[in-house]
Amino acid sequence: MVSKSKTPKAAVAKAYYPPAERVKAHPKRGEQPHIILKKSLTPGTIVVLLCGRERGRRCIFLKQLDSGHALVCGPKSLNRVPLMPIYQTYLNSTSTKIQLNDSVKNAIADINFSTFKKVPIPKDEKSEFLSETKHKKKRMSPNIDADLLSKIDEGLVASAKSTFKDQTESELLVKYLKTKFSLHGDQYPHLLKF
Amino acid sequence: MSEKVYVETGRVAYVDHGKYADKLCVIVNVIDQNKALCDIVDAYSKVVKIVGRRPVGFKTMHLTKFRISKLLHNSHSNYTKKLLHDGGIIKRWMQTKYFKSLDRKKTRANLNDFERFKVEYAKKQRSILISKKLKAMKKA
Repeated sequence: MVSKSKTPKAAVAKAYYPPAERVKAHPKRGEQPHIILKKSLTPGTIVVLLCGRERGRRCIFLKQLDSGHALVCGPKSLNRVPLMPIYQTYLNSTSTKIQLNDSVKNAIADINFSTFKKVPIPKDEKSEFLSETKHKKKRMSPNIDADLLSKIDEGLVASAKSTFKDQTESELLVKYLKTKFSLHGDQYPHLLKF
Repeated sequence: MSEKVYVETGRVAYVDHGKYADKLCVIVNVIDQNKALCDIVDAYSKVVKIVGRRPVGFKTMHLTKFRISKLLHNSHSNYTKKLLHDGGIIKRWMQTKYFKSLDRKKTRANLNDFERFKVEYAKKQRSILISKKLKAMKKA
């Protein structure tokens, strides 16, 4: 009798081969990952704006909005930088920090990204020589009372003035907020310490 | 310019780059055309500390006017330490113009943005005062 050699079972093709690594599920639209702020950005940090109309201006970082943007304000009376949201990549934080007044903290507490709406630039700000059709630019403007805005402004100026015990230092800090950041010929940004 | 300064045993030099950057060294012996055997001094510690005895290239050294004349070639590091301490050389080094300009460069490199603004502002105020005085002098 011929010995029946054991023939190996023919490999059956499986219907499903699981992947070697488990693929992580993409976050759903509603559950975006929380945007992590740079460590140097704490409420009251003085920050340099890098982009936009007000580039080079030194202003005060107030808080992070729910959308991940950073809420920043000049104050407007010193700087002409209004209360506005910016993304943190367009900010260069310095190591100078201001203690925010309680009035400012309370006023800011309710502000979210949704309080800002795109509003067309008012006619007075545009030059007479620009035609309306060409310059239909819009700007993000907060939907807040003018009173509250001026309160925030005043509160910020007061906080800035009370940061240092020495009065000359505080005056210099106010002048610092008014001045634009600029680079001289022998200053290299990668070597500067902020 | 002051008197000529030579490479010799006991000459104190400032090392500006390389492994021993920003340190003082005392030449103990010359190895060859390019380097010398030196005792490397930690200039910023309260008590004179000798970090080690190593070859240091002449290209990285800047000779200072200080020289420990009592030092003999290849004497022990402890003797260098003692002589440095006795001569008060580090204190004298810190009073030289060279050290002060190095120190000034360091502080300027480490300035905060606010501090940099204060320097700019001070310079502006100074030039305003100078121009005012100059105007007054021109009128007179």
